[in-house]
Amino acid sequence: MSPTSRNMIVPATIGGLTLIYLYESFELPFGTAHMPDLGFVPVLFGFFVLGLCLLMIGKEIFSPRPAKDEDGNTEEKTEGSPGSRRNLILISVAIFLYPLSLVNLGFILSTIALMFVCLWIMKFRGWFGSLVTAIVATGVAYLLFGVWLNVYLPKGVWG
Amino acid sequence: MEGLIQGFAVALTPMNLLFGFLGALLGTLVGVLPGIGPIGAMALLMGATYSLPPATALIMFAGIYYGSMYGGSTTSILVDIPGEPSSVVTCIDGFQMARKGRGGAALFIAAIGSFVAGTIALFILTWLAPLLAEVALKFGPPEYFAIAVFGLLVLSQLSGQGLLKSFLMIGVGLILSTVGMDAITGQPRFNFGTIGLKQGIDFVPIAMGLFGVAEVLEVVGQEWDQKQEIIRVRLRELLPNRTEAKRSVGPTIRASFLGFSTGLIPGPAAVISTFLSYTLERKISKRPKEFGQGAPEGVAGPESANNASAVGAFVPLLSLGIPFAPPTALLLSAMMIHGVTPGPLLIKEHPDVFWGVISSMYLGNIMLLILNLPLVGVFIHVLRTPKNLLMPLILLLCIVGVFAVNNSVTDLWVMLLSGIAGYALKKYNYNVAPLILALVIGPMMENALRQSLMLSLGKFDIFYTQPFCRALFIVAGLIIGGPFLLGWGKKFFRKGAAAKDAPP
Repeated sequence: MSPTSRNMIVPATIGGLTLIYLYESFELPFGTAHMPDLGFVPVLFGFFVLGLCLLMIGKEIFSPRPAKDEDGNTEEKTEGSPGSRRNLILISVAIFLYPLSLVNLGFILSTIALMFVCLWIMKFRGWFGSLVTAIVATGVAYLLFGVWLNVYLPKGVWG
Repeated sequence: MEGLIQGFAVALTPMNLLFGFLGALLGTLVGVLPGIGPIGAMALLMGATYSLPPATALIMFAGIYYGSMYGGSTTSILVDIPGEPSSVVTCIDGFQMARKGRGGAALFIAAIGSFVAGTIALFILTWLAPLLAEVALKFGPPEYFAIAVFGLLVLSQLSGQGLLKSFLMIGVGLILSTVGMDAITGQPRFNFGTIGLKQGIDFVPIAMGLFGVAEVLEVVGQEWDQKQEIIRVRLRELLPNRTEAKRSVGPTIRASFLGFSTGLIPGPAAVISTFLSYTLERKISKRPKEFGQGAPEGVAGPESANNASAVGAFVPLLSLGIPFAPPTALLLSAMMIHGVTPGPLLIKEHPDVFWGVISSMYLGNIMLLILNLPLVGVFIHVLRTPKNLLMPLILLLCIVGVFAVNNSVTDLWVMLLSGIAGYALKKYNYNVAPLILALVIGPMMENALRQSLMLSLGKFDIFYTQPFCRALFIVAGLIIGGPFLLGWGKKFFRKGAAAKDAPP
């Protein structure tokens, strides 16, 4: 990917989301300048962000500058090895599945599973060592927060 | 003085002493550990402090914040890895001192400097915060709006990523702050029919996601099995020699005032103060060539400055109820959770909290001094925890910490999504600190704007007819426009000089 298109990803994404936000803002009552209603400020904020995104995209299109790293090099940053990218995706998926499993399976089972996946992917020990560590860490967290500090943690299948 | 005595009566109760100590200890630990900072630690413990009295909880949180400033120096000096961004500068001369066998002396200079600067800054805070609170009682919505805009504008200039990127992060924070119940009409907005978003997007899951989960993902994407060389220090090697001690006195005193003043400015004040102090010391030093080779001034100055600025950051929080840095934004959240509204009325409505927190900081400084020097070997052992164990544990703590605040699965989703967004933003060189502050300041800014317009019957001139607002906007304008004007002026004069020198 060229540095210019790389630099446009964030403003373009935020700009797209801001359009949805602005659409929703216009659905709210706007009020008047002397009696601003709940849509007044969101519309101002929305246009402010949209304007910034357009400015940044325009700047990239009309005066593109190669993205420089800290040392002043213009090459793209190393993205990491394919292995680390795969690990990143796997852990992101595990993290995304966690809130879903938390409600159904409960804190203990879902947290053991998440911890095991993370430890195993990050090659802490073999599968058995990772499993034992995941069980111990989750157990300690449950005792500390759930029992000692009385924090509510979902029980799920054990409820 | 009466208030301070009342504060010591609060801070010296066994329970508050214990929690102050716990805060200082935890702060030192998170300061030592790269990857988890005071924000993560405070957010994690937020839910666990519900049953505590407000003063006790805040004493612990304050301890975590200034304790982390002490802890950050240990790793900078002995491993050349800053535990906190505010200890980056300490690496330069601290690690060089350690390589020359003066690691113990560097740790001692850093600890004493932090203690002295922290105490001097506390004296100023004790005097300044009530004074400012008194003045702030006269402030109305236009003044608060001006302070919020001033804070965000100055922050955008100081976050070190370019003005447009900073503004964009501020804009995103402001947009997120409008989700949920409208404070004036009480009607919900942007919740897309979900109950979880009706109360708005909480600051804690966003902070934990952007700082905690994003850090975990970043480490996953790197090589994590590198072993670090840790320099050992014996207890008897801790004392600096006479020359080192003498050379550290001046920088410590100067950095105390410099750091405190920097702490009053919005943005990463602790980090900026260290750079300013280092530059100042090198400029005025008789031995500038020694900087970078293990000069004691290069340790004493920055380490004193970051502690003083951490104390200085309490002034806008306690007196105006406006946080100018992410850790104080978390302290604001903690106060709100405990039913304490920070601001000019805090000193009148909750004198136990106001003076209790300030007094506990005097005690906390002494505790940190006692903790940090003899136990340096113990803290350094924490660094030996392998990252592939540490990161899953941080993830676990983030999950429990966020869930504990509201028992909400929506908060978990918000944290995980912010974690992924934070990771992506880091990859594209965006600093998320302005986003966090805008999220916290946003609701206050919106209310102040709408109330000001109602007061002025829709006239925007209310913001420049008030002298205080006008002054703030002019200063902010100069800070934002100053660099452009300077650059333009330099170019203009260079062109003029070139035209003069050119042969006819």
